[in-house]
Amino acid sequence: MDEKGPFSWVLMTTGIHAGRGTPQVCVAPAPPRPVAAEPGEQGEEPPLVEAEEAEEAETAETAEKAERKVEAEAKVEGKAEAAGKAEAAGKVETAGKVDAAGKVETAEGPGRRVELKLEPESEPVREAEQEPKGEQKPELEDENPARSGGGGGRDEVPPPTLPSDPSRPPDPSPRCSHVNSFKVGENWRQELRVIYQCFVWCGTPETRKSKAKSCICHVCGTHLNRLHSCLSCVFFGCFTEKHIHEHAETKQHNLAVDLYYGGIYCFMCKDYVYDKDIEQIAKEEQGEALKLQASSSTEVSHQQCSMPGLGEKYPTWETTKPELELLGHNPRRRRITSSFTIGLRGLINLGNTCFMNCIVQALTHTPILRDFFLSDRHRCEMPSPELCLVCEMSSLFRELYSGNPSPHVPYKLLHLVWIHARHLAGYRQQDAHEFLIAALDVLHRHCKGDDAGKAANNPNHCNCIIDQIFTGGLQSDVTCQACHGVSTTIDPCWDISLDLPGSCTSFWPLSPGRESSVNGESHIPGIPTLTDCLRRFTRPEHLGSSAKIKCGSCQSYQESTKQLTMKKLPVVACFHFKRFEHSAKQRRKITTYISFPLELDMTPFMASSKESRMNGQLQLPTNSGNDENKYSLFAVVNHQGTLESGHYTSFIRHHKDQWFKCDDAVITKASIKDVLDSEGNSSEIKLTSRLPLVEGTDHQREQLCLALPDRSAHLGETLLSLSNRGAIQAQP
Amino acid sequence: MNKDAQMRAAINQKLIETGERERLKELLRAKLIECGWKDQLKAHCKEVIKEKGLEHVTVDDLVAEITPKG
Repeated sequence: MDEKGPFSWVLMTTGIHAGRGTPQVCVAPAPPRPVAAEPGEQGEEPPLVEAEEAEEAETAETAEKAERKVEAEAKVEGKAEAAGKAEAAGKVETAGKVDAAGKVETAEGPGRRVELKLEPESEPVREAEQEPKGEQKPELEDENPARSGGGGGRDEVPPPTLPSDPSRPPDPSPRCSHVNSFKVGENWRQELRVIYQCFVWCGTPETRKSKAKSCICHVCGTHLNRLHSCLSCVFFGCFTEKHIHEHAETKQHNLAVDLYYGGIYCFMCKDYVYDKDIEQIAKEEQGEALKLQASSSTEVSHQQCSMPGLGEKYPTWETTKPELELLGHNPRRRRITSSFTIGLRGLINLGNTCFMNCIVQALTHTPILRDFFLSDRHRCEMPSPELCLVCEMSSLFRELYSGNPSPHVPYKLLHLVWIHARHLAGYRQQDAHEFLIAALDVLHRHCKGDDAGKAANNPNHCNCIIDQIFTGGLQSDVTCQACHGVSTTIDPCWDISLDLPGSCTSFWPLSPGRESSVNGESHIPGIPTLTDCLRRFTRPEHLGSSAKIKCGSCQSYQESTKQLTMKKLPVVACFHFKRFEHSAKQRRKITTYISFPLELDMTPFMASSKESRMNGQLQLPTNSGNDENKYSLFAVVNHQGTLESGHYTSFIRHHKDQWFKCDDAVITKASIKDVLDSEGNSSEIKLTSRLPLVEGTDHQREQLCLALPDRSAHLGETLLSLSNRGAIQAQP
Repeated sequence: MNKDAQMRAAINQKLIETGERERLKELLRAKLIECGWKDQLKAHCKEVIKEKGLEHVTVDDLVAEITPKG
């Protein structure tokens, strides 16, 4: 396999440098040639001639090498045509150039026999002398699907359809003339591709092996230090230690390719040069390799990765013609200012659907979820995409962030909810919290496509966006009162449901309102706070003599205490106040006002803080320096009215510190005070997002939305030219 | 080559052969982009280019300037 590489090098040498006896490869004045010959050289005689002179001594050597390698090649390929190739290769020196009559004789090469099949039955022997009929037909190149690395023994890699190497002449490089001297002959493209495939971006196991074995510096043996490969011969040298530089000087090989990034370095110009044709080839090869990598890695690797699939680079956005047209027809550009209202849109009430509207508003303003959907990360793998709730969420995000101010009618969402969560179907009033949990559940189930395929059904290992954002771990410790052995379980949870003072199940050891300055809540004695509720939630609870648990170590039923704490904090925490009480005695709504802070530190309620709590040190200083457990409020869902008939509204935070009240189709600006006091309303659900991330995502969001104006500066030029000249130009 | 270097080379070979090196590279690339490292370095590059002038700066210059920062 290594033979392929070196052979192609050597062949190239002989092809470019005209072999023996005929130094005038490019000097021949060109009668109009319809073929992809070397017009670029016409202006480049001096450097090439110089190179040639230096090369002459070498060509004899290299030509011999060529023949030897061809024979070795023949053995490797084991094909009948190999013999023909040997002959053809022998003719390389004379065939690899344009003769004065203007006919191109294409240089032959192994594995490239396909490209010259003008007549399918043509024998290789004849190919070297064959003159292409008239112009070099485009199909010529199209028939060259065999990757040079893929000829012979590599048949298991199906030749990908390469975009045809254009039959037009190579564009001369504007800055580096040395590159132009490289782009000589018919094979330079193919040979360059071989280099890329074998040494730079290896897609197949074979090319990877060849890279692993051969890509070390020929001088010092390192595989680091910015290894480069000479473009004219088989030499690898490292850049940092200047070994490739030495080679370039001694051998007068001016060009080398960086094996890490694929850039071409010219030692004469002492810089990386960017030649359009070469860049194009490089991009294609890189894309191919990445595709191969991606297709093999999804089968082989089991590592979970929340990225858009390894092997999928972030592609740069190059506008296509239809996109340019679209942009031309829609000249309005959006700028993000502090007063922008994109993302605020009312939702029509379809009949007691306020519970759904509120949750939708809250979800669409959840920072990370918003970023996920607005960057179009969902890949639907449902058998019928019309039933996919995630797709519907995606389109909902699009609608709400479209800038359209009129209220949106979420009938499709409602329909899907009815289908997937039967218990919520119908027009009677529903519970917003129930809807939230049901919605998260359905979204989680439908997210299969985004979760690298596997483990979507395993609740412990799901990596879908819903789980990444909302799932926390609730630790339950049951302590046997006899032996004090602790049995711990950790359950995934999407929300924290808190009992309220005044409920018949409540048990409030601390009088509400005391010691509530931990989170900076407004400390009004008598008014319970969210922290109070959380404290109660995480206190050790005697299970009572009627609820004995079997203790594993005591092997008997013992009284025990149970304590809930947070083991793993979710990115977005939902706190639910259990206002609706359905007990044996009564069904009622608890309307006690609970005060809550804008920022919440969950450290005291974590499993790791249990120790300090038992010692009575509940309060941690608010500036504990650790921001990991701090949350920032971004949505509040309120319920007004009674159990039988009521109305849901929500407050959502928009763009860092602006709050808006969402009452179905009506959105009004609100103040923080409105949100926190919610006098007369009783808040039911609060969504908070982890602090550092909020800032991060705002930054990302601004980046996301600003991406358009940034690019539009460039597009503006193009569009300007559009309007000025009235013609659409392709992106240069 | 001493033993340490030999081992490194062997490991590197294996990594390349199995394709893991590419995967790791891509993973690292994505992480660096996500955390903003790439953008910061890009901004630094722009500064260097502004200082030296677009016509005269070479890749070697840039490498020398930003390698320590990176």
